[in-house]
This record gives sequence, structure tokens and C-alpha cells, in this order.
Amino acid sequence: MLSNGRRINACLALAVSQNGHDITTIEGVADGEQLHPLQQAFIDHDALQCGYCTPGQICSALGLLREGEAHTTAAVRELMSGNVCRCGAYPQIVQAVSSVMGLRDTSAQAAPNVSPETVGTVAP
Amino acid sequence: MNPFAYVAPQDTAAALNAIQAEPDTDSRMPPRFLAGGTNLVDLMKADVMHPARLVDVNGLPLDRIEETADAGLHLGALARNADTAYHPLVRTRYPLLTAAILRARPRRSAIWPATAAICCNARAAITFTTSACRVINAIRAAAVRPSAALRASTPSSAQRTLYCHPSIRSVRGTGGAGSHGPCAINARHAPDCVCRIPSFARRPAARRHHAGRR
Repeated sequence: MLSNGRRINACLALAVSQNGHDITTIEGVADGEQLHPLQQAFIDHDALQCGYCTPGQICSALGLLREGEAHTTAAVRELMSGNVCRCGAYPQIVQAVSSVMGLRDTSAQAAPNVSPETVGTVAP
Repeated sequence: MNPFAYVAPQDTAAALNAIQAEPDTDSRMPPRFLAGGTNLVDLMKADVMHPARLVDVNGLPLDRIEETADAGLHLGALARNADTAYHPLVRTRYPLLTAAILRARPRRSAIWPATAAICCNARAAITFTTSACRVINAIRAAAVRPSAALRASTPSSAQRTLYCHPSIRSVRGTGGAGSHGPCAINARHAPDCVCRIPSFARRPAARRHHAGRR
């Protein structure tokens, strides 16, 4: 969830210590019936399976957007890695968040282009 | 449920008073400071810690990150990890600290030996205390054979090698050479206290001794 706009782990925050803070949970992300772009992106990219982690993922992504520190899909993956998804929907989650941030998925380019050829020999 | 008192003082003097005042409840543990809370709250839930009183120090003006007169860096005790990692001064002059925090932060379950190399100031006494360590993780870690990487990175000469959450930099003693500040965990402790490191959170000496020969 977000406390004063910053990502915190709700399970490790003592509620009374958040007294007076501006708290945002998944319930406050949408604008009435209008889904937040992140919520829509999660649907579009099939970024959930059981949905248990999704509120936390979306709130965390919201905090990530505000931090403005993720400039690549790899950074999105890294900076979202505190949120665990037991279904393993990480690729889709990264796609969803990256799409909202306007980042192109560069994972395909990063994948090794394997072409067997001898580039040298290693002396024993 | 273990009852505990909660106070949120707004200045340092009030916080020190609150931590030193007699406990209001019958608990065998002394009052504790609550800052980020990601460790203490976890341990309270797990019934490992039950302090008589929580002194929430988040209202204190101790989160400054700024350059010191001798071109060093002052990291306030309440400076958040994210703020520290992304601070221009830290980024440009101490990129290792930025990298360490960013690498460590998301991995809540990660364990790490004392990160003295990252946060060590030659004059500072570094003490990783109970509340600075992921005791739960240390217990779990003790149950599995430490990886070769962990063994390799464990300083053999360290008197107290604890597996801590790597994002925690617990440094005390910012005075002159050889001087130790007051214990950051319990103000009633002597300046040279060892601050109650539980034996189960410590890597057994015997295991450490044998680790290198495996």
C-alpha cells in the first residue's frame, strides 16, 4: 500500500504508526468505475492468475511510477521484485507496468542470440 | 496478545525520556524504538519480541542526508533506504551504497553477513543488534547449510557475525576517534555495550571454523 504516496509493506507497518498519513490501498486506485491505467494494463496483459498479490502489485507499481526511477523493463522487474507472485505472473506484470510507463520490452533483445561458432580456444 | 504502550514523541529529548521511563506493562523486555519497523513489527508478530513500550521516533527530525564540513556524508538515523539510495550525493560519491540498498531492498527474505564493508567508517563502531537483524531469517538460515558464497564473504575475524537484512546499516558512534555514541537501541546501555545479541542469531563459532574446510 501507499503511505503518503510511498510504498510500504502493510504487513510490516504498525497501523497506529501510520496515524494521520494519507493511505492508499487498491480500493482507492480507481476513479469511480474508471479503472486506473495500471489496473486496465493488468487485465490487458493477463498479469494475474489467482489475484492474491494483485492489489499489492498495483499499489507497488503506483509507487514505482511516482518514484520515477525505473527507466527500463529490467529496472521495473528489479524494483518490483519485493512483491512476490506465487503464480509466477512476473513476465506479464512487468509487461503491464512497463506498458503504462511507456517502456518497450527489451527482454527479447537481451536474450542471447545463440549461433555456434568458434571464437577462439582456451589454452589448458 | 501482549499489551504494550505506544508513544510518538516529537523531539529527541522526549524520545529519550520515553525510552528510559519505567515500563507501563509487565514485560520482560525493555522499551524499544520504532523507526521503519520492518524488523521489530515482524518479530513482535512472531512473538520473538514483546517490548513493554514502543517509542515511535518517526516524528523526530533525524532524516537529513547532507554533506559534512569535511566532505563526508551525514546520513540521518531516520533517512529512508530509498531516500538514501536515490540521493544525488550518495549516487555520485557512494554508488556502492546505492547499489547495495537497491540490490537488498526488494529481497525481504535475503540474508547477508554484516555489511561492514559498505557502511564502515574507520572510526565507527558497528554493531548489528537484535533489532537490526532478521532474527527469524537467521534461525531459518542456521537450519540450512550456508552457501559457499556466504561462507566466502563472511569475515573470519569478525567478533560478531550476524546475518542481517542487507538493507540495514546499523552504525553507531559518530564522535571522534575511538569514541562511541550512546547505544542506538537502548539508551540505558553503557556506551560500550554489546547490546544483547542472542546466541541463536549468531553464527556458531564452531560452524564458522569448519566452514572453510568443507
